[in-house]
Amino acid sequence: MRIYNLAALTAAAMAFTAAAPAPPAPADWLTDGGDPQRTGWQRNETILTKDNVKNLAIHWKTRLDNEPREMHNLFAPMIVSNVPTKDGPKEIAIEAGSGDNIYGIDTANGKVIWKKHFPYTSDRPARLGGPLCPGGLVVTPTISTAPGPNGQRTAYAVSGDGRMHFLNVADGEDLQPPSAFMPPNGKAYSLNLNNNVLYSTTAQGCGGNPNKIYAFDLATRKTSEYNPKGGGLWGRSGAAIGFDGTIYAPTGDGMYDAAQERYGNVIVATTPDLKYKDHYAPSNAAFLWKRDLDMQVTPAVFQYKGHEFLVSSCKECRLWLMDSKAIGGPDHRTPVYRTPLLCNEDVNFAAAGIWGSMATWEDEKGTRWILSSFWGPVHSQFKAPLSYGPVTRGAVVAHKLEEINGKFVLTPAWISRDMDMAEPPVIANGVVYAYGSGESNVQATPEMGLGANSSAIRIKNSTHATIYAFDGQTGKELWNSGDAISTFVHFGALSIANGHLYLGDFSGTLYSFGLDGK
Amino acid sequence: MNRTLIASLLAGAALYAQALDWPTAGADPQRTGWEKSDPLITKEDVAKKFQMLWKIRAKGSAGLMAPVIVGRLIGYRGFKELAFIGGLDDSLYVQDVDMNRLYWQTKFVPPLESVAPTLACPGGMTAMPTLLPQSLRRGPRPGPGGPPGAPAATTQGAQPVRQRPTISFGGPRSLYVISSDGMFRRLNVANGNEAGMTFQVFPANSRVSTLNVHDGVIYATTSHGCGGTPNSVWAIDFSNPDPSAAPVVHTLATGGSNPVGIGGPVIGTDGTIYVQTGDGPSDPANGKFASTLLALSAETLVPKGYFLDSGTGPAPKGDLNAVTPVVFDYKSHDVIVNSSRDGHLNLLDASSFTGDHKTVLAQSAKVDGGFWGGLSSWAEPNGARYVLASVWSNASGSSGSVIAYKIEDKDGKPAFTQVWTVKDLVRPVPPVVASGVVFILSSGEGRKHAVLHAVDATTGAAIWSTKNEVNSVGNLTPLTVANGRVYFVTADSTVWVFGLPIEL
Repeated sequence: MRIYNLAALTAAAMAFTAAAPAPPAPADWLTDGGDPQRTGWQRNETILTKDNVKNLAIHWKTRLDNEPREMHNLFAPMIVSNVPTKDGPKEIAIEAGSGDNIYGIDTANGKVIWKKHFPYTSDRPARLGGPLCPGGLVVTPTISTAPGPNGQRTAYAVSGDGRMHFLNVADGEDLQPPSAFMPPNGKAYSLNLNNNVLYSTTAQGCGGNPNKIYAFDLATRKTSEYNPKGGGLWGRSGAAIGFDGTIYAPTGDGMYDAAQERYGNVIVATTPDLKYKDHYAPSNAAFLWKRDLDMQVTPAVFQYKGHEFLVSSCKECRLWLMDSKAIGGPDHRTPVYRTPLLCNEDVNFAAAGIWGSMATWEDEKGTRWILSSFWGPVHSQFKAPLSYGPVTRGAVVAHKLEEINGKFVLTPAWISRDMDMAEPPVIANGVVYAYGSGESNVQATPEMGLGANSSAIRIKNSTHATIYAFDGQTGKELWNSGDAISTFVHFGALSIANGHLYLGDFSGTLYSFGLDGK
Repeated sequence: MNRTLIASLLAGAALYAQALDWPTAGADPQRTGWEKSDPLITKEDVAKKFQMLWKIRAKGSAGLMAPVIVGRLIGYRGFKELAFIGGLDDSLYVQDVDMNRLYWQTKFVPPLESVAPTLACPGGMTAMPTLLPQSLRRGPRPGPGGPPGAPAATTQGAQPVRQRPTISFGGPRSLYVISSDGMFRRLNVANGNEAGMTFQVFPANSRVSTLNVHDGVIYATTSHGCGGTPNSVWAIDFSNPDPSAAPVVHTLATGGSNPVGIGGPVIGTDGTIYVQTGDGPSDPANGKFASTLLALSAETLVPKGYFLDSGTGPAPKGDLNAVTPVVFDYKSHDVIVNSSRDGHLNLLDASSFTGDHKTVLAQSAKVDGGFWGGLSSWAEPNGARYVLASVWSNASGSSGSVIAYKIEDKDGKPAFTQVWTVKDLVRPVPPVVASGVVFILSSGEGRKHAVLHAVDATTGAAIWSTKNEVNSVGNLTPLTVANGRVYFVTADSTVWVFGLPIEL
């Protein structure tokens, strides 16, 4: 084994750095939504452009041996480049699966480099709990933002028994022993990482667990938690993190009673150590609760004209623009701006409305774009300057953030073509990517009521996912994946990194799309 | 049963506090008119925030009935609070009450042989529909492919299959309707589709009373001989889980007298069916039950006993003192309050229906004029029991009042004590009660429009009223109250909704 002189190497590297221009930052995808702010914006992409995305094709697809649980299978892959491995530096996709499996995949060819199965260690029995509570691994992992000793990268993952794992991205080996993080069988959402602390949220009371925000301090290995005493915190991408470390999470259906510190149907803000800080409760929170229109969309946080803003939504299908200084204004009920309804005219709790997370980006002219995706028909009163045919199954909508007469407003810019259950977009190099999941999101029928909300029925009634690429400024369709993806996607997400687009489907197949299939 | 799913839904995603139904006329099978647990109504909020929420006129329809309410339907179009409003013209309107949107509507085909309407026999759909009471919401979450909202069927020998219908969380639910052609219908509340086969139960053009339901059996009465149908009590056993199975129907003829009151049969907590009859031939031994309160066995309608009205004097004019009784718990057993034909209220228990058939536990003082429509009852948390009655001073009701009585023990015996009276009402209908507030509708007459009043249930003190906001007269149908809203119908086929606003 060769022993390197680390100091000499470092000195050499520094000398090289001083002598040559810095290499472009890799367009990695280290966390769900691309960054802790959950913008969905891949800022460093250079390979995919508006001009060439029409040439996207399957680069590879790999069927993983993950066991599906209810409707879940694969979560959004995390993409890490320049990972030092025994075979040299590689770009590796970390793919988590519902069967308590995690895979390291060589993105060059789709081959599984390593697989790790997390044994269930809790004394409490593992169990399925219907589509809402699948048990197993449900948390999208996240990756350390900077290399560790020897350039290693750490994948943080939460297993179905609630333990936090610290895996070497290169080979899947434990870098540290697993540590208790949250109760087993919970329904937790994507990990987020900021300032050496990992965050997640839980929902649905799965496993009998309360709905909370959880934090894991990597330095002390201690867990802290905050219970807003509302409904489930089921923003698909978990909590978003502000530039000052503030944690933002939506709470689902529950009582809103600020005097009693019960924060149902709000966006709640906490300090990094999970102390209550602020909240925004829509003025119609009681109605949202009554009609099961949960606040369940992970906000996106961004900076614009000296402000730090959040934007979020819910099944009701309107957008709220919030200023982080006081996200609900002085009365906690007044956002900076509230759009009219975009969809869900029937006020349905399922198969309609905005689900998952938001996205936002800024173009070269400084225009700030807000992206949302919705399920079901567009609202009859919603009009955008650019549209592409009737929308009955779902679409992506782009708003511009504008300052008009000293007030910030969201102005509709375009609505995409019809998509079968449009899911949260990602943006790279001026191109918006989103997919229609093809999932049957019907949870009730006249004949069966809620009995229709079984995984077996919904799986049977689902079709397949289709990814679309849109011009970020016009919404014009630039490409779609057609029938390339064989099954639907439930609570997955797109990842985009270094010229490739990734999505895993219910069959357990991870797809990589690249230019000309490369 | 998928306990985890139910738990998770209850934990957050699906539960809006308490979503209360008003499943049947008078709130419950006992016809108490008491919404026992509406957390949205408080005296303070009624005083400060009650307002007209919406009104809607059913154009072309006539004779609308009081709404029944599903507080929360988890349906294929979302979580909805729905009002079901029948019309004399065989129409059924279903309104999303939050959004004030028509949710669905249907109109049944009237019978081929229609008859000229009269005051006694108006024809059309006369029976106010009913739902299963919310207290039956104990079934499991429906499983795919299973029978709607019901546990597994059991069959014993050659006996007919009986299966007590229940309401499962989020499961399908039926509205029970009798259309003017006499068909018994079970409609899926989500979309109005027939949830089971329809069956001819009544002759067409019968005057069928407000429906009541208990343990898989619908109860109703027929009156005035309309459609050639004998004046009778009817029990329609639809408990066979096979939706194509014909219901088993039992009837008991009254021997000529009309069943009276606006609430149809009343059902005790033990399942006993109570029906009040009006004037007519009286010979109980030979099945002629005039001016009698009948106590009948559930399902079979075999008489368990009867209470004979001891009132004297001429028969009351109009519909005075011909009211639907009310049943409530008093000292851990059912008691019944009815009115005598000469203007007293009688407090009865099981012993009143046997022996001399005339023994009362207590009797109120005689009122001037007479009671109208039905009675209501509620109790304070400390158990103090009240009975509420609408009183018309004459057959036209041009001067009326609502009287609240307290049932109190005096010398070891229960007694009626009149505790408050709200006067200056015109044709008041039976009041309803929620969270310590009594809602009273003065229906109005001629140039006097309807006025809805809210008064303190213990003192009768005025809290709020609609004043001149309603511009039509009431059509003498009952009030409905659920989830912070009060509903009534006026003669111009308008549904009025007053209550606490919720921002949409």
